[in-house]
Amino acid sequence: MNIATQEVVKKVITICPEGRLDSFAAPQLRSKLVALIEAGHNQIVLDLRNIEFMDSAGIAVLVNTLKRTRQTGGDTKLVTPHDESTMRMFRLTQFDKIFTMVETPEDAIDQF
Amino acid sequence: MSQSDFNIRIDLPSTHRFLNVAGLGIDAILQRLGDLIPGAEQVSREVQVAAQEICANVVDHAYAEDEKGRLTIEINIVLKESRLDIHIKDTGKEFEPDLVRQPALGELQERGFGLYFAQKLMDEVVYQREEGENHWHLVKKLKVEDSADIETALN
Repeated sequence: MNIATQEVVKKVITICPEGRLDSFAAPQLRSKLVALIEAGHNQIVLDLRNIEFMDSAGIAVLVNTLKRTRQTGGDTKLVTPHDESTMRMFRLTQFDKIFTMVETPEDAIDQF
Repeated sequence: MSQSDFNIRIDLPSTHRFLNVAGLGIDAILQRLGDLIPGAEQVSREVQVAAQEICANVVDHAYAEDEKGRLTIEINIVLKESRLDIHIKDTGKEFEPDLVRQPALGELQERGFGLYFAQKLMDEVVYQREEGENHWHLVKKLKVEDSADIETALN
């Protein structure tokens, strides 16, 4: 009898942006994420707990990352922001229904 | 202008780099009036997003990222009328409201939420073109302590 054994290792990158994710900061985060995805990382956790302010430019980066990772068979999961106004951006756009949003990075990694 | 009216003007170059000055200025003003405006922190966040969205639109579209352009952001708070008005003015290209589409909510759309956020977070958002200037007028109604408390707190 042959018993095949396979070890599965999850390769998940966690990114923790902090502070204001606005139209000035968003391109910096986008560049970082695009570089990671182009390097082959398509399972990404964005930990938003330390985001203090986010506008539509920030939302655009998150959606772009979700699309890019899904295009290559991966996904993007979010750790829910503590800032209530940032959370409101998700509700206004209904992206809270599209993204997987969990409370901790560990929970997010478990989702892959 | 009475003792309970406040008018503060910020003048910025047309670049995303310094738009946080508008947001943080609004926050600083509301923090200093926090005793008189219940929920001032939440109001500040909403007004900051709305104002920065309009300013970002000005930088991107009215001035097409030409840093020689200027934006003036005037913040008026009239406590006795329980309102906060923001006037954002620029001399860039005219805004064309007919070209703006409502965002498709629930779809993976990246762009087109700026004006939508401003409209959702403020009580009024009005655009006018006046003598070669774009004028955005944003209104937020405030919950303010009663007049007697205002006078006491400000004296």
